[in-house]
Amino acid sequence: MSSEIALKAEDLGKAYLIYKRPEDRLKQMLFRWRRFYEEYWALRGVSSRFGKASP
Amino acid sequence: MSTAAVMSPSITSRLYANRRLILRLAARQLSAKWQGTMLGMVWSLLTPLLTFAVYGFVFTQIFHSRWTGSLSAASYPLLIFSGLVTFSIFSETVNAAPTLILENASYVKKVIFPLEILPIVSILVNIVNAGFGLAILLIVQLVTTGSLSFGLIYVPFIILPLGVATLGVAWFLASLGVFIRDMRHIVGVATSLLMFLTPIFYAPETVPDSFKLVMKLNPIALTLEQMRAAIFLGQFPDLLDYLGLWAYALFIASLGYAWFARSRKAFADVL
Repeated sequence: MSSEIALKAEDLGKAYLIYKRPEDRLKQMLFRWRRFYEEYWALRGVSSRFGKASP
Repeated sequence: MSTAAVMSPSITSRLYANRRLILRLAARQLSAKWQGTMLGMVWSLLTPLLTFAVYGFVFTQIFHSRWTGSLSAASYPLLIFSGLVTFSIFSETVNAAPTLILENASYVKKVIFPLEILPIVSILVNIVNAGFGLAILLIVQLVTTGSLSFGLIYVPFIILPLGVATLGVAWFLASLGVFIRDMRHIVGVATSLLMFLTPIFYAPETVPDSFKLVMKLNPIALTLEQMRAAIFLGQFPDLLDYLGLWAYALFIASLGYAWFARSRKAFADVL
């Protein structure tokens, strides 16, 4: 078995931006430097590594 | 429908690519309105006829209103009706716009659908309905005066810039309605106010001088004047006025569409 790694991914996550009210989404478009949403992390801290396939 | 049609950036090519869908949806909306009713399509002529009769009765028999100005020779009920029919193209489309996307949420979330055609379908339906109103107007004009004006052939040209400008407003409001749910009520009040601030029930000449300039800012007023001049006097609009309306309409339409195209990706977040 080879110890060489072909693909490595560390600390992956997926966040959804939750807007409490529809108008918050509009404000977010107009005032990009502020935050009108809450983040919901559906997935966090996923790491995986894949070794090279043996020929 | 191909993916290319959905992704293509130019609005005119997107509309052309979806022309069949647009016509289909408009035809369906028009026929759905009378589906299952006993009188069917008769309603589309009966409704404007009854409206015309009621307005004619109230304004001539109760209010004894008279039209002052260049068109005073024409029948007063016909003058206000021509204004109402033209204004309805704008007001009906704009009133429906804020809920257009909300009511078709599945077109946003479930399928790939060219959302920008919804306001176009809406305006086509309202132009056809205005056409029925115009038909009633012409029948009454023919019966009462015995002749029709040659200027009728100008009517489609006069309505076109109004339609394009209305489309721009509808694109803008259809998007805004998704984010601000109060829009439909705001727009409802605004259009009924605008109906009285537009010279529909009175001649533009009767507006006091101090307000004339403000009234001139309303482009629908100019379209109404052109409509009446065409229908009752057989005149083609002043060319400079007409081109000005086109410039204005294209400006409004491109702003409205630009906003719609920019904001549409956010629709799914809040529906």
